[in-house]
Amino acid sequence: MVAKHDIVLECENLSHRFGLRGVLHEVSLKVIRGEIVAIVGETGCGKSTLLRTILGTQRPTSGKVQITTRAHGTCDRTGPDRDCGIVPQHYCLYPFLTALQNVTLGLMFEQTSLTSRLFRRSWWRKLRAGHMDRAAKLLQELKLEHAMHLYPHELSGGMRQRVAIAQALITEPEILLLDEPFGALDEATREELQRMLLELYMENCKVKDRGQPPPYTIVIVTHELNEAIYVGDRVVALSRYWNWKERFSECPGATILFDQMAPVNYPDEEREFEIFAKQRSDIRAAAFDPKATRNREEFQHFWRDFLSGKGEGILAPTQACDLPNCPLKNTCSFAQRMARLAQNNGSQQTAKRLEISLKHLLKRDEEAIADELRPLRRILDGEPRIGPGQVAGDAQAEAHKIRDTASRECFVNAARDMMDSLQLHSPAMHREVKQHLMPLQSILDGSG
Amino acid sequence: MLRKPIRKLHRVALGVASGIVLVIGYTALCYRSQQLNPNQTTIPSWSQMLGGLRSVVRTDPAALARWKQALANNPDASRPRPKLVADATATGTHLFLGLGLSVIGSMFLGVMMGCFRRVEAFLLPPMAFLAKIPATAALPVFLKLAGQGQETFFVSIVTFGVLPAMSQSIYLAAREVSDEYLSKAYTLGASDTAVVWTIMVRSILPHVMDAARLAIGPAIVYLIAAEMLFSDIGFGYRIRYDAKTGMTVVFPYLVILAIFGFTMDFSLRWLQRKTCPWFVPEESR
Repeated sequence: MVAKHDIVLECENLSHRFGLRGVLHEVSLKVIRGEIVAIVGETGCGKSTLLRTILGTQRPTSGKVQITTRAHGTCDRTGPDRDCGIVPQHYCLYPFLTALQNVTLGLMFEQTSLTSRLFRRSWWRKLRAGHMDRAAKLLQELKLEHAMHLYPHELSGGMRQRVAIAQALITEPEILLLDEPFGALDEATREELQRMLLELYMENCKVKDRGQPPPYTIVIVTHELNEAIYVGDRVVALSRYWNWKERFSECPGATILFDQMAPVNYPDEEREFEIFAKQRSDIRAAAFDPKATRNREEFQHFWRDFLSGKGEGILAPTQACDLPNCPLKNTCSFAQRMARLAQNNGSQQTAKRLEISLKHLLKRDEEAIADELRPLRRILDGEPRIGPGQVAGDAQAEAHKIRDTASRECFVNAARDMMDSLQLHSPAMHREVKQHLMPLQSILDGSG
Repeated sequence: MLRKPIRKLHRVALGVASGIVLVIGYTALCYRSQQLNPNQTTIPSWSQMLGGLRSVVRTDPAALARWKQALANNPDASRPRPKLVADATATGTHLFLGLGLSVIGSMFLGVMMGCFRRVEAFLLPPMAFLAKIPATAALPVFLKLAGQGQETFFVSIVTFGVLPAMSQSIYLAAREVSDEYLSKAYTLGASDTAVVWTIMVRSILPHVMDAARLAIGPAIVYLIAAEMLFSDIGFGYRIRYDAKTGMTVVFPYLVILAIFGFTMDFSLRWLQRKTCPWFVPEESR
């Protein structure tokens, strides 16, 4: 089960009407920290209204929005504040500030007041220099070092959007809302920025693996289904085509008709939208077909799948190990992830995609696994003999500890499942992983 | 084709040509008038105008003689200044003070009305009402309130003459600032004061300067009218006084007034470019 503080955003039965026209009807959405949730839907179905309600600039007619901060405090949204960052479609950079000044603005608001800036000039100058350095570093990461001192009207659309994202991210909001952020951009720039979001997602995964809360939770509104599936690890579709006629005489508003996980994509891999075909057609069937009157629950599998441990990336279940300071922590979680990935190879995965995902996982974890299994490998390679006796003794003891741990059910079962699944779905990966786990082979074969 | 662009050289040449046409036209007109009546000064010749200009640039010999006599009794008596300097100082001071105060006042009121709906509901109707009253028609009111010949009278007629309309245009500029800018500032952690000062004021600053530029014309009209009726110094007074004897001083004064207005307008544009380098006016987009 997800701990309460892992849910960063909770919309509870949100409804909104503009006069007599219902826009949103009982929209309930929980977003897990670190997710990239893509919201799709037809034009005018209330996507932006939902975003504004989350932001706090639009009061819902009924229902509430809650944000849980990293300090585990939960608060209802009453207006826009620094818990929630926003990047609208038209960038919304302040025209009177350069790119660098736009990015530092959040830090200035956060750490100073008008009076402190006016009356503590030398303190403010020092602080300002620090802000500038931090913002410059962030802009460099976003490949904007040459544009730092340009005004927004001197930047291209893609550059402006990157500055806007940097501006929103520098204050580390609990959640970042992107309202059709790439709508006005050309295809190449759009792809570049989509990869940038995936890089943020990968960073989330790394931070989560270190046991810390992921820094970037993103809700992106888009009308591009491919974009939604590509950048999001979860796709939510809003639609007015549901079975409202059973209870109402006229449509009370759009509601969520589709809520499912999306495959995790990697920024350095080739974009292949063909592999999203199945999910795309599911979304169309659920939310874009005016003739259909869907049951609201029919395409909402997210929580069922998540709770049964099917998630990838940030949604992957955390390893259940009751051993304090487990020496096989990384290897065990790798095995669990590999097994899950191979076993989940169902509706949305092709063999090629699975291969890519498995390779990514191995690439990411191989160093950590090698570190963990090094003492065992040394003993197998006969290395302890060349070191001083004490060191050799320590290595021997550590090797024993690892062997004992490897025999524990929580590891050995996961690792065996992984090897079985890999043998079935990806023999090449099976051979490669076997090489990495060579020191534990006898245990995994059942002869240890 | 309409609005077909022209080369910069052609634009400058046409501008110069229009000036030359004006000068030639005037010269022809005054030549004809001089032929009919060589002593007339209603359409003075260039040399007559130069004479008129000399008379205001030099100190009046009679006043200089009076000052010398006065020095015997009062060694601190101030030396009389040339009429042009005295008039320009008086009119300039009234105009700068009046415009400065009206810019500050209307910026405060305009920003407040643009930011807070309650202030808007409270102040907008009276501002709209006052903006419709010509300040020249309200001269007697200012006269009663500030007193004839007082500095405050001339400053207040400029200030209150310009303020309602300028407040309205600044209010409209403030209203134009996108809600997205404001909510974004809140998401970055800004307080209400920070949003007003850092976002609102900076966003509308170039529009404030544009509003001030547009207000120069009406401000000069109000001030000259007031000086004509209730002053014994200043451009308005001099124009009215010298018009009785001819136009030899009036025309140079009108040209000086135009240069005065141009200088202020140019200075404000320069200031706008310096303080708001990011501002790209609509016409150059």
